[in-house]
Amino acid sequence: MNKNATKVLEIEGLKTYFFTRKGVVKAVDDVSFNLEQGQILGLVGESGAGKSITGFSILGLIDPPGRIVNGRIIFQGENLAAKSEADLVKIRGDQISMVFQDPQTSLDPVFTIGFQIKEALKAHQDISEAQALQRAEGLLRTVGIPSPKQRLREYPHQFSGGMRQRVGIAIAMALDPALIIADEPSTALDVTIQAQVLTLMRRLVHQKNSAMILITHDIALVGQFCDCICVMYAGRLVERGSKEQIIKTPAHPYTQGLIASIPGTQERRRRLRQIPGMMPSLVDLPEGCPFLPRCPKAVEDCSERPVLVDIGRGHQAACFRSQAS
Amino acid sequence: MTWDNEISHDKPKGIGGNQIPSTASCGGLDPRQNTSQSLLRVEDLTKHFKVQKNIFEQIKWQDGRIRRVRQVVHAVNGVSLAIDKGETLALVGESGCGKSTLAKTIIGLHQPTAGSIYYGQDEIGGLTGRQRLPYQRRIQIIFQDPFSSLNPRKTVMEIVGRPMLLHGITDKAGLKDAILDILAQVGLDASYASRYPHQFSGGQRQRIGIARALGCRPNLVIGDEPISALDVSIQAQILNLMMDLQEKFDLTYLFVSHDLSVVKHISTRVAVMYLGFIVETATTEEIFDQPNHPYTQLLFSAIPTLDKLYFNEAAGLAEGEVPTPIDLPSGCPFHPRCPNVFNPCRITRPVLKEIAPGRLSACHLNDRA
Repeated sequence: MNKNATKVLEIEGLKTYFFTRKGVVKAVDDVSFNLEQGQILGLVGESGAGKSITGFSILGLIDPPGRIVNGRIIFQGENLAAKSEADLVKIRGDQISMVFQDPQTSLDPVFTIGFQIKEALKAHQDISEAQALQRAEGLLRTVGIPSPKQRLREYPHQFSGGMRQRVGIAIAMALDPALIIADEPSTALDVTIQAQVLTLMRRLVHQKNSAMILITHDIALVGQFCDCICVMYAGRLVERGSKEQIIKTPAHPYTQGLIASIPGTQERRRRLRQIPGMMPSLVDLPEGCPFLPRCPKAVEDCSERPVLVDIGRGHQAACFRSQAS
Repeated sequence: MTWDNEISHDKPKGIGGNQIPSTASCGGLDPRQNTSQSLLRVEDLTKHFKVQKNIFEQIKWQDGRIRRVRQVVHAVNGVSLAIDKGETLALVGESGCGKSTLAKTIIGLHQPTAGSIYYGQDEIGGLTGRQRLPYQRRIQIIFQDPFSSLNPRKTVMEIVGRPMLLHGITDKAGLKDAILDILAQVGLDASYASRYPHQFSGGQRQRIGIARALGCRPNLVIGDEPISALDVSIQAQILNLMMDLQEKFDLTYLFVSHDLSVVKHISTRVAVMYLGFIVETATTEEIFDQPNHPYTQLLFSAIPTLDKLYFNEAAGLAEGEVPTPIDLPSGCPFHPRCPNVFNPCRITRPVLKEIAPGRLSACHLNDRA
């Protein structure tokens, strides 16, 4: 990666906790990463791993009982974690935008698609109704929605899930933001459309020299699409590195298990290698390694909390075993 | 072990049922009657939906005069397909290509517009209600979304037990044991039986959905994207479970999916659908090795795999999207997007032709070569 490239985003020691009646949910626990201009970062993990909450934290979209308890989010030289809501409103949608996971709920069912795209445009730019309409039509066409002129007058329920997601992508791209946080943007889409949409998003990132965080559970997709990868598990960053490092030489047992359990790479019709069990509840996580109960390589040290340690050329893993070897 | 060995009676209890066919006439059960290999056969199946359902929706003001608009969604267009006993047929295609509609028509959630569905020797497409019931038991479905396919007000016991009672798999006295048995088969603890769906994770809910389907002792299980709503590490668990159960109970799967890496792993044969048409069928090895139809080629080039660490822009640059199934393109349904389009493609609709033994493709290019 270009060393002279400017950092768009710098996250240091981010901790986002939810204070619930059952206890403190450490949804994001001490996460740090950087993002440079023109770079696409993949944030991989299972649901509940804290990837989406990391995304929401950047935008300041954490509602009580959740709170960013610690850490700095430096976006273009300013700490977003310390900013007021009024300042964040100006940034959201304009400089940082988000493509949400669930196209069903991220669009308002009582307004037309056209209204919702125009709303995003007019909130940050001083443009006329006619201009906004024209831009909205162009955006729909860019994301590959047929007969955009008519579709602008339709409501979200008249769109299929994939089409709704494209509308979400259109809204996020509307103002050419410096940072796009895409939360499972293509999960609801088919592979050929996923390829189209991601190609589109990737080009936009490269053309406008912006940056993107792609939050997904699809590690194969991340391997193709992103420049660098962060793997999250139970609120923590367990491994970080370039895509070659993560996919070819995964160091953390969780990443190794994740890659090994992907169908299509193993002998057909045989049982897949699976990671036993499921992710622990984030309430009252034991102090040690969160992956310990499912880990095939656990040793005694694992009851202490491992931290991210460099294991070679920027490749970092939070595992005692990978550090020892 | 197969289900059928265990069943001594086939008549549902407490539903009257004098019109219900006896076990012998219920196809696929009696080897003397079932001469063909296929467990389920679909012939020229067509399912169209009306866009404007009644006269009030049909009347529109267009170009300065009142017109009656009657549009039709061509969801499934003349699909012929046979599923052999014991195989896993994967039905792949993009959303809106009609794969779920086809699955739902087979299971009887939609009435076919035209064409027939044969279970063994028996035509079941036209059957409804009680006549359909015995076949309904043989063909079960696992739905995509484990969060909406389970009734939130019912306990696991009620969800899994109800179809078993309805189909007379067990009587009330034996119900609890039967439920606990099936829960154990799908890897759920007996203590979960009295819980409600919201108390479970996605993977566990999908196990409940599988238990509900298996409780009826089906021969054919249709999985309508059964793992696409689950986490990756859980997907492997559910896939393993489905493969284990297939072996154990001699199940036949119709696996509807858009995830080609899953399809590659689990299926023995693949049928590719586009705009309500089957464009290619082949064994899994053949189709992944050498996709014949240009659409299959496009589809397969777009799969992200771990082998290649670069982004396949070529697949992303393939212009166009699936046309609306309201106005089907003339000729080949894929011709507006096809990179190899030539004249006949725009005029005549290609039919599925055998291009190699057991391998069908609907493409004019095969005739030209």
